[in-house]
Amino acid sequence: MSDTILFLLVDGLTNGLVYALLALSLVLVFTVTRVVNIAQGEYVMLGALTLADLLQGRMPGTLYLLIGGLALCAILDVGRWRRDWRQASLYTGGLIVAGIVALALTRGALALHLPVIGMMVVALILVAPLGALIYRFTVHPIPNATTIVFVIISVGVSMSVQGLGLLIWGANPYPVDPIAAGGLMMGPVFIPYQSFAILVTALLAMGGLYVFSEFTLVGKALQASAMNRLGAQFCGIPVNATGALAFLLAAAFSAVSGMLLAPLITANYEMGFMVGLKGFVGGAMGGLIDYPLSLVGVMIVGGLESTSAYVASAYRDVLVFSLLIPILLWRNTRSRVEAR
Amino acid sequence: MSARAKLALAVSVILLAVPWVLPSFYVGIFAYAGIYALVAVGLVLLLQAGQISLGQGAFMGLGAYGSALVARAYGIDTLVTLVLSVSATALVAALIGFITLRLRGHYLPLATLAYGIALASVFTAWHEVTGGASGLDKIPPLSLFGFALTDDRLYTQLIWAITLLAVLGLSRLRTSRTGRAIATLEGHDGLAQAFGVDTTVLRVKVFVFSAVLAALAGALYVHLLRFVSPSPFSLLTSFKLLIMAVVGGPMSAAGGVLGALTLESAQWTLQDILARWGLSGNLEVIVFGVILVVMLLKWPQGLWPAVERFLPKPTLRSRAGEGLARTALTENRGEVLLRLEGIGIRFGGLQALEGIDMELKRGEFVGLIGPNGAGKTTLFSIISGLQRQTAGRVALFGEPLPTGHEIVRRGMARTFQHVQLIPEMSVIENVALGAYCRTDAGFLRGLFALDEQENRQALASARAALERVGLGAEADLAAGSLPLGKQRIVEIARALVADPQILLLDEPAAGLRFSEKLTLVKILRQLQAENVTILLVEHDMELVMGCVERLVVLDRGRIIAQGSPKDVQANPAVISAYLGGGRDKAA
Amino acid sequence: MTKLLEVANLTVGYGEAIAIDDISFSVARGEFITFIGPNGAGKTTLLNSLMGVLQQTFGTVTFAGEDLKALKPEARVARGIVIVPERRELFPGLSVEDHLRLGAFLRRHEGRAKMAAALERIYTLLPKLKERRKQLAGTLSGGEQQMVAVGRALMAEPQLLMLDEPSTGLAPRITEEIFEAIDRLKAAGMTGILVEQNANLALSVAERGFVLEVGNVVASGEAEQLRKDPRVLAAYLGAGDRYREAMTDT
Repeated sequence: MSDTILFLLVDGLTNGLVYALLALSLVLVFTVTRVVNIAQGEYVMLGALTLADLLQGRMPGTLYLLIGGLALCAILDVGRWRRDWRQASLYTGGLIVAGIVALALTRGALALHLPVIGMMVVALILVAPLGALIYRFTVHPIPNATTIVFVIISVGVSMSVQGLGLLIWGANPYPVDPIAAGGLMMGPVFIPYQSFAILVTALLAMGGLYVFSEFTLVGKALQASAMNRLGAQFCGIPVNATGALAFLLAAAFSAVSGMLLAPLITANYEMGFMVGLKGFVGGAMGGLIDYPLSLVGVMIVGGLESTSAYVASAYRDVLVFSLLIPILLWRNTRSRVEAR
Repeated sequence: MSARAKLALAVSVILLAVPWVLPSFYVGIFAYAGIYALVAVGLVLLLQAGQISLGQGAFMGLGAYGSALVARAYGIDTLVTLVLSVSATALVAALIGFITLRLRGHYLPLATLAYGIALASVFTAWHEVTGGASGLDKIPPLSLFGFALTDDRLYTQLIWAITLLAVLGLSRLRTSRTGRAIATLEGHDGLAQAFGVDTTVLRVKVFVFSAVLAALAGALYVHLLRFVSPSPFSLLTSFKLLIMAVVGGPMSAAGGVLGALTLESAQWTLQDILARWGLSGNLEVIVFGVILVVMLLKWPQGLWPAVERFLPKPTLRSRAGEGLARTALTENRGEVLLRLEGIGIRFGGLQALEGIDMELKRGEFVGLIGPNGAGKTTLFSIISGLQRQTAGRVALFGEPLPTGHEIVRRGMARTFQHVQLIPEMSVIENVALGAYCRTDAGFLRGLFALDEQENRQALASARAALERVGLGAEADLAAGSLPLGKQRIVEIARALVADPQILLLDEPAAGLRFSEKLTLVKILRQLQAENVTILLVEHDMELVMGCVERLVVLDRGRIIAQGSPKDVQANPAVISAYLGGGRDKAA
Repeated sequence: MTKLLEVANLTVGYGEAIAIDDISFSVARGEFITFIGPNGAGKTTLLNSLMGVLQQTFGTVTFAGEDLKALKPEARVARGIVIVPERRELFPGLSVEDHLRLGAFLRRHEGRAKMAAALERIYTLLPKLKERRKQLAGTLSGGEQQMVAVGRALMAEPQLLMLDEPSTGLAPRITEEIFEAIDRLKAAGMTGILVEQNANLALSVAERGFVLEVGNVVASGEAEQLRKDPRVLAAYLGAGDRYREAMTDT
């Protein structure tokens, strides 16, 4: 009996850690930009499928998405040419260079047949900037829109990206290699190496975000623009850039979680939604503003998920989502007290 | 019949005739559009009240499963099961509403998401009863008094008839007493309370009503299809409905219909076009998503406002005849109306007010002044019931000050430092909100147009108040289009319609030009001559000194002087408080 | 003395109202001027429009010869215009030292030694901040928060320092400390615009002053002269004549 419990714990922990990265992304985006990003799960899908392509020796469709996005960015900024052509040409030049670098990097990686970790880095470089681009197209133009408009817009983004995923990769599942095959026995439980990879990556990501936020000035600037946008402006902090940075980091975390998860489940164009939703529930337990609580939340979700052998899956969902309501009520009262 | 009403009738006739004109494949699509429109119309009401809901799909499911399962298992007449199911959903919604509607900000949509998914999951989980994910067939058709409605075209007509009636009712509601109150729910909580609206109860009513429409739509859906399964009531449907409501335009019930029709036809047209060009169906979703994003970037208010500009204006509701009866104000000048004893308030470590003793006598015109940070705003919010003091007592007409929305019924009305008018509503409707506490037509009476006489009286009172303050000509203009000076006077008119004995004015001259301030002063003097008691907080010293009888001066949370303007101006403590102490060392 | 800031025909709207009505003035390098007046006079609006925060701004603002026109606040900070805002606008979850470092955000590439030196200078000027360097801003008293706001602004090494009602809500002793710090800055050659409700305090620091009343300048001149000018008192406490006359008509 204790063997099963141990197994469930390990399984739940692994699941939870993957969703943790997603919850982290959601909280990061919300605290810095006040956007509830329904589309966050799609970066999970993009990360996984890009990696799948690279590992199979194909040019990933994501590259074309990236180049298309950079081109659109340049087009949108056409107005700046009249005002300040020097700055505008620098900007467009930068975008072109970025596109070329991405292309070269991908070609190089494929030619060199990099190992899984190397390909993961390349995939990350292709997917993360998409987050900043989405920010540029959807949030930057209307920074003062209401929450609901952002919610609907992120639904639109989610639909488009999922549709693009279907277009590029089709409906079939794709195999993705784990970082290292096999695993080891810890006592009675078999733990795949991938789970260790997930643990290490999750800890590095959380640790990295923590170090970045607490020990670098740019990280503090990000925190500052989340706490008081006007105050940040008065320090000379470019608040639009911090928004784009938040979106980029969030996309990176989500993409990594997708790449780590893919060997354990099927990787296909639909995977983003479910993973996104679970991370969302965890994040919501922290009210989308509290990192530690959202980690607890995803652990609960992950743990409940691994009990699927014992509890019918649908009732498990009922339980998880019903649990959310009293937690939200509690958080709501707390934030009102703090505000006073 | 007005031009607009004729147009509405024509459109309705067309919509009802459509099922007979369409080829049979499209009739089904049109039926679903009607069902979504019904839910969207309810969702629009929710959005007007400032509540985002991602759980409407779940309420549809409750209505659907309730009616379907009972009719199938017990053979009861489907009309009865429909009514029962919708009523049961209303009860569930009331319960959920009381629990979750106290959530603010982004917490509320998260909660709706939570119970939306939870409820939808029950449909799949409880498979012994609901048939689980594969659903149940052999659901009886809708039968009206023995006549089974199996003809799809007739059924579709019924659906649209109900939807159009809902739009009619909600449009009617908008111009009624409850409709005016609902308009204050989003972002104007202080305003709502100040004029007697019990915001919690009203929010729940709005929530339950939209759940009822959703449940009705769900039941209609299931008796049309004769098959029930969990998938049409999922989170995706809730999202789709929200998109319809926001795209159509949350300002008006018709927006819900517009949104549903737009989205459904866009979806099908897109599929059609893309199929014709031989492109895969996946592209449709992408294009759809992009269109959605672009539409919202361009029209964050939805499509309806853009459409409405081309339509004839709606008829204004009658405001003829006598207004509501007004209390005659006595001249008993000695009577103390408001008494503050030992008022103090503490925030954390800071004692913002201490030992405040003051009285307001009938017919007085009193000004509350003091330098920045003195505590005037805090004291004012205690007097108007927005904050609770930590020490001392406030007595209004001899009794302790009630909380929140009870105050205006006792006879004390107020205006606001930052103007709280509903910009899209007309001036006269904004002013009519003041009559909320003196009338009682509720949600249902407003919906079914049973409130005509009372509404006419309220509007007549509003018209009279506007004439009293010299703004009769602006009655039907949008409140947001008036210059600030006139907006402030509209606020005074609104307060007057509440028939108050005490008028509280919060910086009424802020941001006004001299000519506007002159108008303001004339109105205030006029009111004083009619024995209205006035308490004023103001920064413009010129104005205060020129029209007020008595001054109360605050500094650092305490009263440092009380008396006539002349006395206060010469008072050295007051001068020092305003100009500030100097510095000990030479500069 | 060269003119550092030149403001011509500044008019600022606020929704429907006019908050600042056609004001012109200039500040020479090394000068400290002040705008005094009662609440609602438009003093904070003036500074906010100079920082580029407000939308409906008309007129020309020239800084060191450059027209500031549509520049965002971040760009103005980069040019050396820094504000200590009325509401301080601090970051409640960050420490005192964090605030100071963020104040020097635009100078972060100058190296660790320069940052350390700058921090030391601020700590010498405002010793209380050194004691509380690790404390979170949200837990500080009003006076300490004001000091953090001032220190943060100074870390940007401003060319023009704007102070928005620094004495608001502060006990006299803390106000004394802050104004002593301002004295020392002045002595070191700082150019500044001080906006204050406390007329006596403001006029003891500035060389020249303007009295604002509902968006208009009703008096101006050398600080010494203004102190004795009856129009200052009238601006604060009013005379009531304009309205009294109007009302006898009714």
